[in-house]
Amino acid sequence: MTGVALCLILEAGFLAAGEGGHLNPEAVSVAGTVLRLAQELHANPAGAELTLVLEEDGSDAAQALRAVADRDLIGVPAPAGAQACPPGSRPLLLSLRLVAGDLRNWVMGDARTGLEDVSDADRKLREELGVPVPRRMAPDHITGELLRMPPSTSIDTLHRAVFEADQTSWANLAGAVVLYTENSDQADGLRADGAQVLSRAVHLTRLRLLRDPPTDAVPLLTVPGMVLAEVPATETSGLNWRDLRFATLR
Amino acid sequence: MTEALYGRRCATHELSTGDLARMSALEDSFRAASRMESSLRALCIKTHFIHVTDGAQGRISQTQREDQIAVLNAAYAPTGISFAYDEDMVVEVDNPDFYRMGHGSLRERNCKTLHQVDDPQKCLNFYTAAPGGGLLGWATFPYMMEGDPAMDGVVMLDGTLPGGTAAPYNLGATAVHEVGHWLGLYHTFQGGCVPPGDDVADTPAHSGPNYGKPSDSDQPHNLCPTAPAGVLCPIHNYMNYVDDDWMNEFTEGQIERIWAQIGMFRSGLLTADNRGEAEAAFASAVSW
Ligand SMILES: [Zn+2]
Repeated sequence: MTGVALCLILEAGFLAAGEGGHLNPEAVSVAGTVLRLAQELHANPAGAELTLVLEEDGSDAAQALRAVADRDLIGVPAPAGAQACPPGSRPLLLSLRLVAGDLRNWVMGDARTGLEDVSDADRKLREELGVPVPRRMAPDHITGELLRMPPSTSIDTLHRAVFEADQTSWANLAGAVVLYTENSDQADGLRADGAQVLSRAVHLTRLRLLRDPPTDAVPLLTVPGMVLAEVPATETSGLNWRDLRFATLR
Repeated sequence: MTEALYGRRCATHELSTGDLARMSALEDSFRAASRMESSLRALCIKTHFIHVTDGAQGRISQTQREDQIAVLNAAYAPTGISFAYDEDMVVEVDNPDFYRMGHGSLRERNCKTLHQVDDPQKCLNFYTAAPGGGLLGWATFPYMMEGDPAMDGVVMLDGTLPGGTAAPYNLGATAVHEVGHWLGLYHTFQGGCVPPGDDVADTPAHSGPNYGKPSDSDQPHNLCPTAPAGVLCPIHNYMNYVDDDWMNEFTEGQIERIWAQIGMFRSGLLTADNRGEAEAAFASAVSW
């Protein structure tokens, strides 16, 4: 095989971008996406290989990621650079700043404000590798399941859920943790563990947290002073899921 | 005749690559070495439908198959490529697990290994299923066939065939899009604004997919800043992500790429049987 062998290096610091040393859930999502893609390529011998290298800096964030992704990660002391990559592979650094030199560099965010540009990570990596990109419907046609997690849910459980499925995300709305997933196996498991169904088929692009929902909204959860509802696409008041994703509102 | 069609052929094993830069260089040298006249580009691709179902779920009617082939033929008419199928060769696989196969999954591999109808070098294996997760379909690239022939073909969400349930993606254009990949095309937004993009000169680079029905009056949408003045974002191209009724074009550059990719990786399609009259015309047009 003479396909692309890509080696992704997650810069130390990437994991805690914008989170004051805590593990950034967006970084967990990226790591899960990359590892799933690596496993898929490994199982399908069509010529591309992908390796993920995590620069270890001994931080809490790195240890928290290890707790959910231990066996699949190659960890090396920071700054590892390309030396940690398998021979013959092409290194690509996922980082929070532009790094000078020969190394190809994908700047995915900022140490202070957090990660951005991660929603299309799977597609962009597939493009980089020259492997097929499955086509998805436009986001406003896709539905997923919305669950209210049990009050005892730990942050590790949430990280694991985000790590396991590409589109999974959550928000903490005044202590009520709401999780969105498009993975039915994952939803089955979370329900079995006590999660409560708020909607079996919600359009993420139509979820809004509002003070006064319009009459045609479908209320899903009431928190002090606010209602999380599925609203018509024309509604623009309140906060949408992009604002709420991985946020904690008190 | 296949050898002469393109002049000297490279050994296929040297070409097996998803490396965009290498692919681009190989395609350039291939085109320089090939001798195919555009007037002689004609090919009818035998299409084998494999409908994976869960009981009655996922069944596809003969009318839908005929309509899908008609949509493919209309879209590919400018390329000189047509599609045909034989109703007697249609396969139905009733298997609830395979029906929900995910992209790149073990279920997909097992299903294809067991049920691929015909030699992928000579035909298109066209699967329908219900992969879930908002997936509409996927395809293998030509360069992948030699290394992994069992996986070759396209997989389509059953509801995307004409008359299906996946509106606004139920007019058959998803198959046009996926067959475009199967013939070697990338998305028009491949690589975003980083060269070489989709490696086709007349599809201007844009930063990401367009969805729905982007307005012609709101151009240039997400066209890359490097585009010359007056250039438009390819919002009607089959290799974008717009609604079915918004897709209606392949460019000349894409047609060139399709034929180069066929010559490099799918020359098994170029049988006398598949080429019909074009083969005879070619034989009489070339003397050596
Ligand atoms: Zn595509």
